[in-house]
Amino acid sequence: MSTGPREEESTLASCGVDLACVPELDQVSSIREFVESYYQIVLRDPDLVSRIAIAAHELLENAAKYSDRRGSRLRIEIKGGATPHRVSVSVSNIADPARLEDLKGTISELGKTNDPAVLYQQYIERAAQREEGSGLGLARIRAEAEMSLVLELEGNAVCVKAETPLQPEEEP
Amino acid sequence: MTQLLAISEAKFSATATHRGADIVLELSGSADVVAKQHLARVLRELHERAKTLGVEEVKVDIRRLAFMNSSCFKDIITWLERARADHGYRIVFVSSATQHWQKRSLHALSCFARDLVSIEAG
Repeated sequence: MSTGPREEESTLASCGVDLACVPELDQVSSIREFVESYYQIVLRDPDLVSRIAIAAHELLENAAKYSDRRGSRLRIEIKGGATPHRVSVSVSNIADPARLEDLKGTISELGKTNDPAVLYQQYIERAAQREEGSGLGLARIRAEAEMSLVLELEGNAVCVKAETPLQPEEEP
Repeated sequence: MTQLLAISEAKFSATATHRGADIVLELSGSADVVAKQHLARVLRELHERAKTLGVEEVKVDIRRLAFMNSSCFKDIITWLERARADHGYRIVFVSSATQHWQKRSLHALSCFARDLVSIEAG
């Protein structure tokens, strides 16, 4: 059985989503519903699909709220070619410079923790006291979707990527 | 049975009814930016009615709720905080095993308000 680059590309292409959009807040649910419908067929693992949907929804909402209006790109990848081992959900866009330090700080804090569930409870406690916004979106991806978060920066161009390894029973 | 409030949007609805010693709040559809326009007010009104009526329990039936975003989740947290401060009533979330996000979100809520919240499989 060949596991060369062409087959890997083919598997990626058959399982991935790459969507350029300028998401308005009220359109994010429609994109999430599409992602859920598609991956219910491809992955046949409803729990994993719900985790991907949480990540896609929260990242797209952040993009709709905080990026400039030049558009966003949602990418979902099933990595590993013939033996898929990792799922990633990323949203890239041009960030509002005023939000960039907050974003860096949050992703750094969420990346350092050994216990995302405990840290998530701290975020929930803080949310209970907040007047504006929840501050929960990324923490929810880390704790509820059980995905690690990576921030890639190039000037004001940001890509927030949520990743999780596939457990053997989750592999498509 | 008395209907206390009802919200109906294309992809979200909320209905609260008073049944004996309880109030039942049914949420269905997708709790996202559209629901956010209503949810905080719905929960504030629900809290006031629950206190006025002296109910023992508020049941939140989310079996037909396909998703909740973090903004609406925050509204639920604010409501739990308010209910906890007033020591008024218990809150039971009725969930569906087929809505996989619910298990994770409700676990987080029950950790936040262990004394107040319980989860019932629907």
